[in-house]
Amino acid sequence: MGRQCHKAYELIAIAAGRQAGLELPELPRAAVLTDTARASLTALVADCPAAREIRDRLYEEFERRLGDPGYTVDLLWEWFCGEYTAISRSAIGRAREAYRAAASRIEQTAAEARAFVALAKEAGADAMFEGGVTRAGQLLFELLYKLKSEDLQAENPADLAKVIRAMGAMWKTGKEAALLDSRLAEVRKTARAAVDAEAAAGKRQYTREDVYRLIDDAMKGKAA
Amino acid sequence: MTDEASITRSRHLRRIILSTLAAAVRGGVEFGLDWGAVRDGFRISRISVSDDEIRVALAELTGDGLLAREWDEQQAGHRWTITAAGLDFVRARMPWQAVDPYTGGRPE
Repeated sequence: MGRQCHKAYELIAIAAGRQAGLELPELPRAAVLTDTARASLTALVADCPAAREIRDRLYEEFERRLGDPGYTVDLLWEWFCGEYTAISRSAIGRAREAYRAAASRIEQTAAEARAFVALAKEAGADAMFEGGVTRAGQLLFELLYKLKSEDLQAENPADLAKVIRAMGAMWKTGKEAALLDSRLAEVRKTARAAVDAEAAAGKRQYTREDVYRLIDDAMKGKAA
Repeated sequence: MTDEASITRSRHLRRIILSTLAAAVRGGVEFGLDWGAVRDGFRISRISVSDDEIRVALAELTGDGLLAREWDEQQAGHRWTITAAGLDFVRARMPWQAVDPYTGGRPE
């Protein structure tokens, strides 16, 4: 899921804070505050262990409904307004869409990795090398999923094609599963280190393009 | 947390893991997920979750026969796959009362 704030989640957090005894505005008032003001209130909740525990429990309840195909936007909206406070239908729709998009991300990534394996095999992987291609698919999947989970920019087919082309080129020149494995491990390590460093710094220093450049460099054996 | 809250949370964590693995299968990935990918699956949710909680949930699901765990020599780590019983459980929209250790049941 994107890390951007959703109003519905913020209001749930504020409700949790109130339940925990924090001095926070009532929900109808919190609902009309500016985004910045509401974010500062949710930060107070995040800093209070008791409030955080209640918040997580309420989030679970909300997410169960977000992930339940039986809950339409209208049903969710009706439930939310009754349980918490009046909110726009579109705010609920956005939270639901973000949750469902995140849920389908792994399926999309898996399909991309499977497509790579199929393409590589069609391109002439012999029996001995098939294990290496499957392995490459496995590592590609883990790498792509990691990148998508870190919420880099929205899916761009050109980016994926670039990675697959680079991997295909390496496969053709590598010709040895051991070399392929070693390079892929290096690629994954480099890309993950870049993303992890970003996360540790608490900010986005790398764009998706930067990460793909790192991948390209690693593919060419230039990784640090 | 109350017992009821613990059960609800545990179910939510297990639901996320099962959903992630089932989605990987639907996408055509048959080699399962490593620890990093399982943990990344929790990015779907806003709840805070610790590695220990994920490990407990994985152990419970494996103990119930809904997941299988294998050692990956090349990566020197475990990989988890969803079993046929696990996929049936997901398709049945996760009837927890059938598997929870709290209720003593197992999948039909």
